[in-house]
Amino acid sequence: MSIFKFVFRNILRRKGRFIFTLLGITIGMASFVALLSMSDNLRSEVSQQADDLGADIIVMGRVDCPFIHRAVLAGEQLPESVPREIVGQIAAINGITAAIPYLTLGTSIQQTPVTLVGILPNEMKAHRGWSVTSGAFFEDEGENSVAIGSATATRFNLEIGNTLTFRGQDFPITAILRETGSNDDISVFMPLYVAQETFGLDDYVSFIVVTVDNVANTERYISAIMDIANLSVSTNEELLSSVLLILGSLDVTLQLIAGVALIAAAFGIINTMMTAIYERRREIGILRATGCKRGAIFKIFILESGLYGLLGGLSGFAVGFVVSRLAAPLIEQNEFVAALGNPDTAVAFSAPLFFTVIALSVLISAVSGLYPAWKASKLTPMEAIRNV
Amino acid sequence: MSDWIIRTENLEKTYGTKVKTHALKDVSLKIPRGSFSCIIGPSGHGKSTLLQLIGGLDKPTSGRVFIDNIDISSLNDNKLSEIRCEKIGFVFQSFNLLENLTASENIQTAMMFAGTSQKSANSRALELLDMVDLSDKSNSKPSELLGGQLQRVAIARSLANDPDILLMDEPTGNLDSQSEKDALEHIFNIHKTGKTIVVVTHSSDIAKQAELLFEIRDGRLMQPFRATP
Repeated sequence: MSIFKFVFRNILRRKGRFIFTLLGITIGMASFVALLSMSDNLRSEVSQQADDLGADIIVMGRVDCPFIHRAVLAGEQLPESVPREIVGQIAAINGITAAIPYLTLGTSIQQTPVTLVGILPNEMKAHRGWSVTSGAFFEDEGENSVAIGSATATRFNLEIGNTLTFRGQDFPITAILRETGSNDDISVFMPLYVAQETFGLDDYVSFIVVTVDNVANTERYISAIMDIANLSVSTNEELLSSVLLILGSLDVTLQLIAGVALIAAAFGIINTMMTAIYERRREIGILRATGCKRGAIFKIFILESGLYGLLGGLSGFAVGFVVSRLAAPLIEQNEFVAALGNPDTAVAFSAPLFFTVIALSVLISAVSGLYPAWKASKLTPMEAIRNV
Repeated sequence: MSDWIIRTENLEKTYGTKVKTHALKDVSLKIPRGSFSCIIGPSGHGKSTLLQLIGGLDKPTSGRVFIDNIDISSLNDNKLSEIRCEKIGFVFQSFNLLENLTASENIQTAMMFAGTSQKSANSRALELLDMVDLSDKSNSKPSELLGGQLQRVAIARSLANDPDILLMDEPTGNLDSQSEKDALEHIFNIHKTGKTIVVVTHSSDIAKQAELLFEIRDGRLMQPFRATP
């Protein structure tokens, strides 16, 4: 009989206690998996949005905060605070390859909120690399029509020839864009001047996306832009860091919740092991009488608690995986989570996450077993046998 | 020079700190290799304490215990564990088998920490079970065995690492007369293989078979010892 078989037999001896202890660590690890995955997914979603935007520099209004930055990345409604006339001036700066204005407006289709983006069709198409699946893209900048993202078409069951009504005016859908995997898929696009006129806006835009020929010179370009207008100018990285700052506080909250669950599980293991030692004093005495050294007793109890960790890690990962899949639709309805984009909050299987969870679970359990194992190893054969 | 496998010199054992109880007082004895000895005396007079000190399960308050001329009273815990593992087998009155393990596995636990390979431990366990006529019970758990069978498994376990010395504390104390007879037969057979056996007992059947008889009263070894012819 191997020591591992011996240890396995021991923890299965009290099945009820085994199950409840395992449940403790399973819940701890499952919450760790679900909460940290949610946080990771939100983080990668935001990073993806920043990549999708494809900007080197973003020019925004003076009101500058992480939530405005988040709205830029998510392509959501923003106040029109950047004079459109500076678009040309920025584009004229030597080394700047494009200056693309965005006018993001909140509107609705079939009583469901959607973002309408006013764009310069040619510049935008070139910048985003769009193509259409049906219909034809805007032919001129004054065309009274809209192009819609692929997800918008599917969600509202729209096709070429249908009309959308904004501010009492009908706009035929002339193009459905090919899926990009970005926020473009869930938006509606209208030529900038048409949008401004329809919504009765002055000649302002929400923000300008700027691309440059050499990112090493970004600081110089930012200075040049700031010389033109008294606006907020950030790099894409600054914008991303700012938004990730919001996520940082969310991370801490989620980690604390997961941490509390793990600490509770650790104390569950300590309690189980201490009870097991009390109940098994006679057994410890017998083993010591037959020549088992203190180190071997210590090893037996550390292996037992480690085995709890291994099994709890496996079941915790599985439960976290399943629960996050079941709970994802509910979590994504939460306004705060939704405000961070449209993240997939379900756990995606990843080998590093799996091994991290198992390693962490075994480590926490083994550390929890240190004190009980030490107590067990300190028992002398006679103390163990006599006190039964 | 005689081959004394067990020797004690002026052995004392005191329990308690404020109120001291002298369990053993100035016990010196010598047991030759391959002998069959019994320790007798009234209950609570120190017989089991003496056996535990000889077996290195407990440390004397003063005095020394020699096993194979090694002073085990001065050894550290690890060395003492090695001596118990290699040289001494224990049989307890209450069998002390592990309830969640089979008869075979109970015997194997004794070998688990002696560096014996799993395969060797398994075949040794079966061999020992066969020796105590329990080869058909190797997969039975203690709850499925009768008292006499349990003690025979315990005897088999005590032999797992082929020790020179077997220390038995009331091995037949919990057995009916038939089971006692069976157990004794096995114990005497084991003695014939050259093992040194020391038994703490109230049983006159065992005592009358002893080559050396030590009587403990009030923690003292009564003189002279009786050596059976």
